[in-house]
Amino acid sequence: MKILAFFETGYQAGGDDLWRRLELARPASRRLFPLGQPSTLGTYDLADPGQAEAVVALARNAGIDGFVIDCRWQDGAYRHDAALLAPFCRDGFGLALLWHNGDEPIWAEPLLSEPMLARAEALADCLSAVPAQPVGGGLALIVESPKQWRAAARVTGILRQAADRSGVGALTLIANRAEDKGRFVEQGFDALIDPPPDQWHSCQPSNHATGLDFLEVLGGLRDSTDYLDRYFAYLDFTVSRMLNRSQRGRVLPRVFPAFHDWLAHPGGGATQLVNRSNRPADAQLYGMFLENAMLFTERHFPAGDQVVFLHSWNKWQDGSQIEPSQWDGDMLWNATRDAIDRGRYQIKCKSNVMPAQNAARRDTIAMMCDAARQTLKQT
Amino acid sequence: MLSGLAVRDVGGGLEGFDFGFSKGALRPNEIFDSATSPPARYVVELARRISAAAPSADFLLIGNPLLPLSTKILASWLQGPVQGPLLLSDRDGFPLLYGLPSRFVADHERFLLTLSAVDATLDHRLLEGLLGAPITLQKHPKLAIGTYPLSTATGWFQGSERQKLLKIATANAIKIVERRPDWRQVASTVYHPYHAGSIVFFAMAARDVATPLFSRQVICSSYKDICAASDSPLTPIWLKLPFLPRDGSVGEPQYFAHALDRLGERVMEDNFLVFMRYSRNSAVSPFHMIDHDRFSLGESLATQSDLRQLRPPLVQNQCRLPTEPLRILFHVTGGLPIKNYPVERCKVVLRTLAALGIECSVIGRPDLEEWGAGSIEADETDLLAEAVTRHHLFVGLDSFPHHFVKNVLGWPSIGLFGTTGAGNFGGGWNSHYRALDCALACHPCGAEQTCPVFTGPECRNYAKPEELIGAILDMARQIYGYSS
Repeated sequence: MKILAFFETGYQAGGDDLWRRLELARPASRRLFPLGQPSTLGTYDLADPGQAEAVVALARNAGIDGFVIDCRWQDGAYRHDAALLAPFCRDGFGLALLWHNGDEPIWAEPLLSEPMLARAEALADCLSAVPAQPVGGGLALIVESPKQWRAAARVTGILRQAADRSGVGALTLIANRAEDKGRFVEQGFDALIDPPPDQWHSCQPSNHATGLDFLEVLGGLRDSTDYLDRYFAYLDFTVSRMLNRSQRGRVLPRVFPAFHDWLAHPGGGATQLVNRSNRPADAQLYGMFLENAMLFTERHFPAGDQVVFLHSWNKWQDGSQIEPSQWDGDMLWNATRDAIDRGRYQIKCKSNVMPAQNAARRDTIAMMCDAARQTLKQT
Repeated sequence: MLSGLAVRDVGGGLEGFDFGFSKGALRPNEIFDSATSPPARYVVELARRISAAAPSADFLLIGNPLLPLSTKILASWLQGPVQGPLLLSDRDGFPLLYGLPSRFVADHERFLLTLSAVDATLDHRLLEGLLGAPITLQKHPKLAIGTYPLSTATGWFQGSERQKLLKIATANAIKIVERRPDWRQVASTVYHPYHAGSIVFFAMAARDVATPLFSRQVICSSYKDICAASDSPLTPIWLKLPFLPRDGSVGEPQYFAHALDRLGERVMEDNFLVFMRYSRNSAVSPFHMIDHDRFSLGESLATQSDLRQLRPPLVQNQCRLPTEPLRILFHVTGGLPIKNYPVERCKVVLRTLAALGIECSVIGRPDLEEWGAGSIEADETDLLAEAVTRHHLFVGLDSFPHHFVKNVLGWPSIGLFGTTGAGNFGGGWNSHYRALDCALACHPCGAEQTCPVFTGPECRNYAKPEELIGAILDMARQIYGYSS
């Protein structure tokens, strides 16, 4: 069972100055949770190997097996920051990639073309520098916008061929979608991953804005966030993601301790997860989410494919970080470590159990159960 | 969180040891997290672990396990070199630190289990009695722990009422030590009188401990049949009281007072009584209750390989009847609606198994007969045991029948878990056991009335019929070679 955490590599001197932007971020409403500020690790510079090593060490200490870093087409080439972390990717720690393919219209073309093939080669070359944390036997590449590929089966095919030629070896392609419905795995993806909270609202929001609300907002009588943003109870949101999960196909869980992305939505449209007592995070509920996600994955995926994704290690901008913060101290880091320990222990406690029935047998049982349900309905 | 210091020579330097409650990994700096262990059990465990790491230490300074301490804090409390046995308390008499000769601690473990850890005056008197020598009682002039909360971030629930239980047990121990010259021969006795499932766990734990610190157990007399069937090596002291009602109408401390009245003076004089009902939240660690109880009884369980859940089961049996037809016994009624396996799912399971030619019996549910299952009565332990032998597999909820069938009879069993933790009450999978649930993010919620998420009377975390039937067929295939 591997735990991979989404990781922001932009915290580098001379980069986007993310720390500064984080420090300056101010919520426009008292209903919005302020963003956390780092404590234990400080405002590190990942370009400094000593500081990057400390970040990796703390993550490993929590039981995390690797980071998922961004990869995107930029200025005529594919880019990622694996080099910053590569020196510390050893002894079972490695990387996976999140490919932001949505900005590349070339992949949406219905037919393969020479430029597309060249682009595949470029991507494969870029991937060859990544010290992988193997998932399903290959380097995990999460495709952020898989629906944009109109010829997905062909695209997945050329990507695999290019990866093979460039020496990357096997690729494990993971579609960022909540439900398969036969669409993605059949077209060459190995698995799916739950989208992040802003991309998949797994339950109904707790605020149902009405026309009166709208008018009150316009009249300055109501906080605009009540109308413009969506609020969700964290427990409902996370339970909904696990409910009937096995019916959604080969979808790997994405677990998050908190989420409030108002910084990315200054004009409204933010997703805000709220816990009891109006808190952004609840260590106990988050720990239960993570532990159960591990146990589900262990039961429903073959041994080499068992991964749970943590959102996130250091995405401070959407409030989902588990890095120690000035507000929560190491509460979420501890909750992560404890939940991983609990999950791994329970998984270890399974011995001498024969593999489950084959798919045909499962289908037969499912059909028979459906027939029994029909009888039940009629009575 | 759990800290202590080793003193190499009287008046000499200190070596610190910090530990935490384990969440499963049992790293070298972690101690098993047992819900049924009182604070004093951790005093003993800390002493063991520190002595093992510093075998030449003359003195051990053990921080109170109820407090979130570190060696740095402990060292800061000491005023100069340690000159002899001492007990440091806060300003108001809450124990902070026990300083004892390491040899004395090793030789008196079972007596030290009667330390209250909440009252320095009592603990001081007990320790002086045990040691037979004066012990310095110091007070920290400034620190006041204050009212110890009902529950703490480190997993304890030891509010003021529960503290009284600990104090009574300590006071009783003092009386024995001070009045009886033969106190070293007086038995150590577990107070763990209920409930049925917990009695099973404790019995199986006692069978699985090489050198238990206890020889007797106070048990409600209504569980005589369970004790007989479970074959616990602990001699029972029968408590002739109905067991604690589960509706919360009687508190545990209140019940304890009634129990002492009923047990009588003689039992108190002849037993070092140690409270071993729950002192900690069982759900914060993934360990099975049998291992919780093994720790309470004296096992250190310092590594994963010491845990029963990672070893073969103590008992394994199976049905000798031919597998045509395969017979399954179900127990799907948990007493409260939210603890029942949802009736609609149950009907689907029974109808599907009947269609597969599998014979099903359900304990105490004639309403399910029209769905293809026979209803049987098994409300006594012997009736349950007899019914089990007539079936190849048992499917049950987190309640006594499941715990008994799985652990005492060693029968092939499947546990269904909804609101409670499968890790704590079900345990590891092996050829004869698996625990099923849906791994919802709310599990375990511990709800007893309605679902805290969906608000209905049913728990959606119970396994779906397809999964349960798949598990039944898998287990039947593995154990009996059954193929339908």
